Amino acid sequence: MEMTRVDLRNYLERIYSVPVAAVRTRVQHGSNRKRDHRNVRVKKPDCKVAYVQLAHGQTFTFPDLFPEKPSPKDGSTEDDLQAVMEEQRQRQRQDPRRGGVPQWFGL
Amino acid sequence: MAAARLAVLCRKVSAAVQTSRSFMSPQVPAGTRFSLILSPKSIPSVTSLHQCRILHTTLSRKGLEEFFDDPKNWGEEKVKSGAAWTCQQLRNKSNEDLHKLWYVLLKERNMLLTLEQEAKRQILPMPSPERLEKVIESMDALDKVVQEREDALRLLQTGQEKPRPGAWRKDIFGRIIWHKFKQWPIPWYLNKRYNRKRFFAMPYVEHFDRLKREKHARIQIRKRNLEKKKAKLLQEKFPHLSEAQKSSLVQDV
Repeated sequence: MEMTRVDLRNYLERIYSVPVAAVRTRVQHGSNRKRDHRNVRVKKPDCKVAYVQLAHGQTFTFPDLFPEKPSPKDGSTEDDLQAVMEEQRQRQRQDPRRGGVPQWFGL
Repeated sequence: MAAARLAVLCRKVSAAVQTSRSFMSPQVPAGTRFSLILSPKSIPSVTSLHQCRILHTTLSRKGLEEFFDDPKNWGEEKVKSGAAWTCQQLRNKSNEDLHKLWYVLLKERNMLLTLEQEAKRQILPMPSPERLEKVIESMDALDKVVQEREDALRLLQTGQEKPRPGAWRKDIFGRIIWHKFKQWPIPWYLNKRYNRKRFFAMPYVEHFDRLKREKHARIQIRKRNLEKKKAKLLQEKFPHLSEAQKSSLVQDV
């Protein structure tokens, strides 16, 4: 928040070696409108927004950092689940020699 | 001068990374996703720090790509990372190494912060948020080590304990405080804002100062009495564990 446009230009040029043509800054007011269970106002902190114009005719598009990956693991997890379920069913099955008669009947 | 050095350093870093890229890629085993190595063993050269970071061959964004992670890690749920740097590990490093490490950690921190903000925007969980905590911890440890070195140097060269000058003064409330000096381009007797500050207390403040001292004294006495009571209680309950008995036993032996 204390960083000025001059500071930002130097920062980008020296640390990231990004050629900067212009920097404009503004302070974004954080909302103070929300109230908690005690009706006390909850403040979201203010932040500074900087608009940086790159030099040398460069363009920059913000990349998609959370692309939807077609995970191949889904099929394997389903198969694993089915195998585990079948294993459990087999364990719980009664003696096949009883012929489906419930355990309530003695012997 | 510092800027030129930094620029040279940045160019060296990018050059080193580009040269090391060709023989670094086969070392990374397939299927693992490693972010910046935070292990201390691979420190002295910056190339080994970027060991598992395979950047694009075309650095067309001229550095803005450093604000983002390795594209292979985009969309991953977890990204593995090593432990944070400890103070003792950093104390074994030279000043130049610490200087380079600071900027590496700074760029990593910026990258993680952008990732965090983007995750908040997309309303998705940030992959492995503990990386950010580790980086912050490492940076704090580095700052502490550098401050220790500066303190030692200053004590040896000048004998000054504190880096910032100050003085013990009585403020307007009668309290004795450590007033830290500020840097001004004008002397103090021409400084309107400084002269409005009062480093003395009027006589009517003495009564309140006395009340404060009495309160402080009462608290101390209460604390001492409580300790005595606790000791007495323990003595009654466990006479065989008392220290007086122990010393007598030692003397007997």
